[in-house]
Amino acid sequence: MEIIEKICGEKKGNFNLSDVGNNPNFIFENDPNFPTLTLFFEDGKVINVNSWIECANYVNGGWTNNLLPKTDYEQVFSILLISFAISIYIFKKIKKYVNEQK
Amino acid sequence: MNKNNLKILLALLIVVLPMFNPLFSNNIDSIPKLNDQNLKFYQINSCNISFGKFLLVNYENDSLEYQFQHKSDIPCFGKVFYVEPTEEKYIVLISLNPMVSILLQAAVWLLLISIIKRNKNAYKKTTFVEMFFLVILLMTHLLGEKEFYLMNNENYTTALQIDNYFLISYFLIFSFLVYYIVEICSSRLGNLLYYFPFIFLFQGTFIGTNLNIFTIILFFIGFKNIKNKNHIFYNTSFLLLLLVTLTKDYSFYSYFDIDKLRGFSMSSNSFMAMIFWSLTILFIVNGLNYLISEIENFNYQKLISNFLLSGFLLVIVGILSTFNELLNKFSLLFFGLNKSSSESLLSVAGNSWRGVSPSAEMIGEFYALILLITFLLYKTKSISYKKISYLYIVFVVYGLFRSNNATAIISLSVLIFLFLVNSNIKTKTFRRIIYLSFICVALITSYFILRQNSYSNMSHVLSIEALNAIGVDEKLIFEEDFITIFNNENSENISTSLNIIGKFLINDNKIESVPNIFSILSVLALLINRSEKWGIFFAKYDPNLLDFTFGYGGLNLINYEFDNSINTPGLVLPHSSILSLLVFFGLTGLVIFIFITTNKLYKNKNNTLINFPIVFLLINFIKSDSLLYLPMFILFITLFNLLDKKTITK
Repeated sequence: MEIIEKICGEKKGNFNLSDVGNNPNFIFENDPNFPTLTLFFEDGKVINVNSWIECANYVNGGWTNNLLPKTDYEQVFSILLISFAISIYIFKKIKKYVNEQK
Repeated sequence: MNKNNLKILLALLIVVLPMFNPLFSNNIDSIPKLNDQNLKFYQINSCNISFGKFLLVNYENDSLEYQFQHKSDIPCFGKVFYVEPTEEKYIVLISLNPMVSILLQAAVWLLLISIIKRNKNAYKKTTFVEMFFLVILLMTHLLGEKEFYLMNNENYTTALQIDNYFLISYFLIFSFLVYYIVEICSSRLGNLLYYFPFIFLFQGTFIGTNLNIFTIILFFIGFKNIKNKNHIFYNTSFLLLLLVTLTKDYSFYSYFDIDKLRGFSMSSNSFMAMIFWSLTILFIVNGLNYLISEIENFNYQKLISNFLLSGFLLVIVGILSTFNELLNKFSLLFFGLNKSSSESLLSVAGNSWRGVSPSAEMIGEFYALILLITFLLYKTKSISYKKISYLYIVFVVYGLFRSNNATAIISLSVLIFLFLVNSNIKTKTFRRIIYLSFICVALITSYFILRQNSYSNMSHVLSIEALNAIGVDEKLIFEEDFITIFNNENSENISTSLNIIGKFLINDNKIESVPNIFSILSVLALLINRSEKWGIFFAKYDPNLLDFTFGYGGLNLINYEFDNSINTPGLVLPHSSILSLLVFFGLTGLVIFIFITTNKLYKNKNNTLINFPIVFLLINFIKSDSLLYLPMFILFITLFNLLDKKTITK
């Protein structure tokens, strides 16, 4: 919900996302008070949404307005692996030192 | 708890626990049971529900089919990616990520390898430079098979930049892998070889990659042996052959679907891939050689126990995988299978059952080989088997019959018969009479198999099948009008190898009543039910003189598949390991292979314990692709190296 509100703005009205999800024939009605937003999907698709519920539905499905920074998981992963390697190195050094002290 | 049991438990947990991955998920307290009403919930919550949580709610649902989605984002690992409804069931896509998968699978297999006892011998330490070289080789592989890795990694990029975290991650993963392989395997080199039969079960292929852990392990071991003075001639010759292959002009193809050969075949014939895979063969052979040379007294009792146990486990795991869909899919991850195991106990196309193996033919040969070695050890070394071994043998026999590999069964029976005659009948003349009678029976049987064909038909069947594969006018084929077919101006679709067969067919100077080599091959192909498959081989095999002489390069089936205009559905292998060797190393390589093998077999003709299994494999290789699978390749090279192992003890 937090991401939806960040992208689509505050929820104004009585909308229920599950109504959209459970109804394959649901038609989104344009909200003249809602400023048209452009959303992007990770494969490069682009769509314009014209109501809060339409926006919320797409954001829920993984679309973003590209304003949210996309996490580079591989960067995080690399850092984790390097940290792990350093930890092992330190652990081995300590173990060696302790053994030598004995 | 025993330390080894703890390791096995830990290995199982490494596979199971990530399936409960709660990281990077939106807070969803409870999830509904999957049905048509709640389907959308699962579809919009992609990567928000861990697969473990899903399973706890939906374990009673028997209309679920599981599939792995290999190339999800890292945080998505172990979660439900999507649920796709079909008419009868729901397909649940479970997210995996190649990087995480490599780490987890490697952790599982290295934990299991660490159960093997350490040796007392002190081995030469692997240096940092050697490890770095191995990592670079693995990176070469990653960069060399671009299309394959693009299909399996969302963020694949080859840009050598400091912020290319994709490559950095892989570099770190490979560094960890090499480091732990060196750490764990270095102290066990003298014992590792006894456990190689288990690689038919633990096939070791990393999901979403074209890499196999045993290739990497043998890479590291082979590295130690590469400077061995006894092999310097063979190694240099091999490298020279590689040099010729790399410098000659060849068509480049960026992607080839290697399917069940994953982990032991190149998916692209780029320069880097050619280097990696050719070196793979060189290092594996050297690695196995080193492992055998490190064992002072070879313990056959230990080896056969592991053969029997792995055969038994193969059948058991194969059967269990048919009962449970989840077990079936997770065996792919846990054992590193090249192909999902059989989903039913029923035979494929009414004839064969492969269990967890990628090929029924190969596994049939393995089961038959276990029985042959068990028998030979009992007879030659008087090895006594424990009671449990007889139970294992029953399962192995079951596996052999279910694999429906007639060649394996017949060659096993013939070799046992020959051994019994050789060892029990002391009179030379009587032995000869038996051999002659046996040959007569074989000839009469062959006659009854082939009697409905005329010699003319039999000698042409291979060419006819090849011409059918090309799509030559059926009328011309029916009339066997080879002169028109091969002299036709539009015969550019005919491969060079088929053209040579054609020349033999239409040659006016042939000697009457003397069959040419391709006629003999054609009759043999018909006898062993290979005329269609070998016909396709000759239709497709289109080398120029240099390719024919030196081959396309080790494990390169790509030029064989694509250097022609024949469209065959899926992966069509040559259906003969001997023909595969011709494709890889050309006539030069094949002649060297035949020379070295026959020479070594002849020199060690009294070592029936190893001689017979090698002959058994060679017979089967004539009509099977088994040598293209890593486990069988390792098995063959190991037996080959064991041939002249002097210090054989019970």
